[in-house]
Amino acid sequence: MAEFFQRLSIRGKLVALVMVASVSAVLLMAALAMANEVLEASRRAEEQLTTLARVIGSRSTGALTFDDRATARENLDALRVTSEVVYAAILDREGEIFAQYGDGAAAGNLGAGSLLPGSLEIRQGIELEGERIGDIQIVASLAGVYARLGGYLLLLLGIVLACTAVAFALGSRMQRVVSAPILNLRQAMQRVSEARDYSVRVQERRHDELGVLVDGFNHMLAQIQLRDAELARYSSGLEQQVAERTAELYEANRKRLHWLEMVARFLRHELKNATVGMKTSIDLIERRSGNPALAVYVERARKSMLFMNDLLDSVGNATTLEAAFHKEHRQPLDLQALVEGRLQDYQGLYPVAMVLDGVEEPLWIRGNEVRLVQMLDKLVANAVEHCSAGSTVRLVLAREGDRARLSVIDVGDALPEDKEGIFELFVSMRGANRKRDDNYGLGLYIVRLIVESHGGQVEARDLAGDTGAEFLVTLPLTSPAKPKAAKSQAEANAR
Amino acid sequence: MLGLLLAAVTNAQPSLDEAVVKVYYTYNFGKFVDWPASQLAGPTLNLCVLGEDAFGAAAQQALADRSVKGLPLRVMTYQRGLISPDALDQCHILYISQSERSRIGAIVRAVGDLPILTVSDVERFSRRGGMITLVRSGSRIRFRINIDAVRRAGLSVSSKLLELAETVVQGS
Repeated sequence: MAEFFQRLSIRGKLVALVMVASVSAVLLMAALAMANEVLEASRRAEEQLTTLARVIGSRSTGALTFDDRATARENLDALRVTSEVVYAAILDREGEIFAQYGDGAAAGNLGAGSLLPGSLEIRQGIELEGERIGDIQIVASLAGVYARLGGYLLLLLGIVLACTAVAFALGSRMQRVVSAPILNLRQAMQRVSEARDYSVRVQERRHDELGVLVDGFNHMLAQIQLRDAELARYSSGLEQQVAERTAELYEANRKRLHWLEMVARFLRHELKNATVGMKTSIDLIERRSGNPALAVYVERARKSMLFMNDLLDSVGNATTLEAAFHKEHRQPLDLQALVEGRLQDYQGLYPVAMVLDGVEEPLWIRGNEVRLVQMLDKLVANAVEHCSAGSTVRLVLAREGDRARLSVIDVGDALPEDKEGIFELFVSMRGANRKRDDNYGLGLYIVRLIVESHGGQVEARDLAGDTGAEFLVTLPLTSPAKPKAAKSQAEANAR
Repeated sequence: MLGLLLAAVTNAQPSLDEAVVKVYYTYNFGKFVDWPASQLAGPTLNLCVLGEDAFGAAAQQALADRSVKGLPLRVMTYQRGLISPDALDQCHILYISQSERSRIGAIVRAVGDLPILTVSDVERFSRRGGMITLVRSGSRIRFRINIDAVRRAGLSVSSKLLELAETVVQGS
């Protein structure tokens, strides 16, 4: 019963409460009314019999006094009008039957086999002038009383049923006063949690606890909405700030690149033009002087000038490179395939043993193939240049989280202390036993430019337990399945 | 008790037992008759017995310490024919014995319309101006009432008594 009640909805609970309260009140009332009616009915029956007994007794004082049994019997015969009376008798002073009416045996059998008393017996003294001269006894059947009580019980049951129906009707209607705001609140809560719409408000004007609950709910929603708005404003402000910073950085970078282009142009044109003048002058000095003693100096000046020319070319190329990278097209490409394809060329080119280790699956990165090949060329050339005779240059590819890793390892010359400096312009410091003269320290600088323009990093490490170097390049991986997203990133980079 | 008494007198000639029944009847008549209120002011209710037979003695014996209408009953006996008008004034009930049979007319006239209930077992008493005549009917004692005489005397008789009467005489 309690479990059933627990499972009921608020609506059901309220109706049940109203029903239980009113039906039990009505039942209690009906029970009290019934009890009262039973008492009243028996009291009435007794009173009626007592009155009858008194009247007949009084009428029979003469008959008793003057020993007239016939008259006494006649008096008793008056009881015929009340069908309930089954037996009556007038007893004399000694208790002997003086006159009787009805069937005494039948009266004795009344109510036999029933829990309820079947008859009501009245015995009343007959007095004359304060002296008891006899008794009158009346036995009445209670069947009529029971029949009337049965009718009354049916009436009460009818009333109880009617009251129950009315209570149900009223309860079902009036429970809304309490349940409606709760259901309203629940509905609003559902709308809020499903649609995340915090602008929802529960329309309910009340002054009871439910009103307080609804107000609290509305207030809570208002606060959430306010916080949301602040958060949105704050985050949009943040985005704007980021956009501004990005624009500033982009502008700074653009200015730097512009400056680089200017320098490159200056080197290529103005300084080149100057060297042309110098070269012409040196040629003229050589031709016109005819002095062999001067030939040595002239030759030395020419050599110096040629060297300067080369230098200008290299620097011009390098500065042009960085400015150019940012304008180049990028696409998803497989680093593994690229390295593997290039390795065959290297094996034909260099007299040095070379192996490729590591993963054999595609490593998709976004980049410019020409530049990446250029980077690989420089790294391999650097390794070949510094490796000891008979050693093997190793290329190792690996996947490290969301990045691809390419190592170029050679056993040979040790790296200088400053591992970052070697990636700067005009720095070549593994140069204790330089094999080539045309190394102006540009190779690793270009490698760094290419790697960084691809969003990657490059670093140099000493080999553990051996002299030599490992050049480690990490590049961000991309998904070939999402060329669009990658493309937009590339465009962002290109700006 | 009455029944037993009656059973005892069933076949008897006038005797003490029959006299006792008549005494009780007379006494009980007092309970079914109303006197004018002025008559009931006195300290006692007097039953006067006129003449000599068994009734007087039986009444003295049976009715000691009895009361009627809330008044103690007093039995007063008078010799035959001897009752003065003053004595008559004291009587509420006057019982006239068989011995006065020959003087019934005179006694009734002497009583006149005084509020005195007159009772007798003399034959035709109520036809001769008396009020209640006790009659032997088989084994029982019955009575006749002269209602006009009762009314003339300013007395009233309960209908209960009237319905028990063997006959009710109208007029005299």
